[in-house]
Amino acid sequence: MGQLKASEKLERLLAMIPWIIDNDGPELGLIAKRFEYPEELLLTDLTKVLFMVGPYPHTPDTLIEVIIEDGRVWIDQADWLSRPIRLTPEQGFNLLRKAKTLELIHRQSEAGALSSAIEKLEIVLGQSKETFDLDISEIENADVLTINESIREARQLRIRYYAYGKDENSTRTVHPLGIVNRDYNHYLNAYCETANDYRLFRLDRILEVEKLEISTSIPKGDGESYSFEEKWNLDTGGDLITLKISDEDSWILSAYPIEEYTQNENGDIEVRLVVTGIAWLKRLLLRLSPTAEIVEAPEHIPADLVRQVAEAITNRYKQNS
Amino acid sequence: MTSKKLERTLNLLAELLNSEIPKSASELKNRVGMYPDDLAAFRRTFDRDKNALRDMGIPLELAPVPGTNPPVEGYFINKSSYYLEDLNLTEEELSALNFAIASIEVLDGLTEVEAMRKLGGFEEGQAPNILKLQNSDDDYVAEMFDAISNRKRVLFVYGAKSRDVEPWRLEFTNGRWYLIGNDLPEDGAKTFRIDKITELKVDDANASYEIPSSPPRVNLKPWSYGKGKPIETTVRIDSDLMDWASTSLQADIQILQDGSGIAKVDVHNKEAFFTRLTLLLDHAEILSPEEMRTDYLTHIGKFNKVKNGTA
Repeated sequence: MGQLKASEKLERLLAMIPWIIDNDGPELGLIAKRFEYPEELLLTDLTKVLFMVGPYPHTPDTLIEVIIEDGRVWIDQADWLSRPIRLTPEQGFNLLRKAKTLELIHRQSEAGALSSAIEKLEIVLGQSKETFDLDISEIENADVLTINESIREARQLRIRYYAYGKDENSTRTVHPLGIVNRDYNHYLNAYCETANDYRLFRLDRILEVEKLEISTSIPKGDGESYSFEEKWNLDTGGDLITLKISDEDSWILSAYPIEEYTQNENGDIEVRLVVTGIAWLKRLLLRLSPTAEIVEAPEHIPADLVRQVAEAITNRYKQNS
Repeated sequence: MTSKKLERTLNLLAELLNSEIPKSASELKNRVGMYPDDLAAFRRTFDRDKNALRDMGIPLELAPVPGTNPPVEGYFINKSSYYLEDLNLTEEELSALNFAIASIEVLDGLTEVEAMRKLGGFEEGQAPNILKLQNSDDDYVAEMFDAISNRKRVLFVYGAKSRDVEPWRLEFTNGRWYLIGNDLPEDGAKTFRIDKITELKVDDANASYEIPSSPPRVNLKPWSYGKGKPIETTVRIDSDLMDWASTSLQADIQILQDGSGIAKVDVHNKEAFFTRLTLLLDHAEILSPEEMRTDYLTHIGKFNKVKNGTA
């Protein structure tokens, strides 16, 4: 803890004075630690500065009284500083947001003291569970605590993962690096032994997690050397296809990363985009109008893919009719 | 901050917090007794001190000094805006909050260490960093939060239309912040995505309205939009897609012995529901009512008839 900047001294003194008044002679060292104020500097500022503070006419009966005995501190004649400054809107919002997020991760029942602190905060901030609420189900469902434990302890993880692009579940051993955030979703960034490469796993698609008793041994090039976009591409594969879509399907131009597109004279749009997996493409085609067509694709992607998937769905219904 | 400057700023605060009426700059100069005599130097120093107080969030207001003619502007701190209400946090609760702020990191966001000091001190611990949250890049979220706290109406532009709203509820869902409020003058609950709001102004003059005891929630299920009686639709989901389906359909799923599951979904808008159901490909099947099975097959049938592509 080095020296403090001007604004830091003022802010910390105004926060600590109410606490000192409330706590009947706390130890100087404890105050220094709790309010992150170098102890020697604190002693100087309490005895040489605060001692000289008070409203006009600055007579002994109006100046703040600081008593230091046996390393303990008492403050008197400072009623006007006996309560801290209100939280700013940003402070109130962020504090409540973080507290509620952790409460949800701990599934409320295990969050006793935190829950009661949140209730008290809500009252003071004029909020309630009805006026300020968070839904982070994608994180809650992913056993984020176990994942974090593994990251912290550098342990390998066995995960069962649903790959949306491929429409399949797989069990993989991964070396976790961290949880990252992109496009409003959370991902586990890890080295995957199955892929022999770095991958991003979306938390809400991690179906099961098991922490292994084996330490991580991440190969050289720990993933941080890739830019995020490159890592994203590593995760998604990269077949390029060209679709012909009508104007009513033009929403995909802003919804997905598009390589290029052209609009024909008749209004049709030819759009070239990266396919992250066959299943991903099937879903996309079912969301477009039936007139959308694959006009160019690698060999393993059939041109009548959407008809095949529609047939598979129809067959399921026929079997159970 | 030199000791002298710290002492002077604290003495200025002492004057302001011990006064019931606004005080002019010259009166504050005389009462604090630590400012330079030279007028220009005083102005500079006084401005710096005021800024130091304001930067900390101290609500330093300007108001006419009573009994002055011509009127003179004075400085004033409204005590009810300055003091934090007593939270009576126990040490355990304080520790839990400390743990929360150390565990959750908001990317590019503020830390709440200063806020924790106001609540009684922050003991730096070894809390694990559990999660990195995206900063609410929607600049208006904290302002909306404050407007709800103080029951203040808000004016903004949304969808190219000017709105006058009594904010009721701030909700984070699907990675975004939403505001639910009473949209005046039509007087009805509406949901607004905060990142789509522009030109926000908080109306300080209207600081009183009632928030309903149970304001509506954000509804991101387009198949539930509509009036009239919904069609209760039962869907069977294969075991391999269960967890994901529960999120996608936002429905509770009853797990059967063979590992598959049954979801019951109230549907108002069939097209929207069918679009969502297609995400489950052939891993799901509508069991009832028959009308929904038939209509879904008609929907899917349109794709059965498409011509082959030219690849």
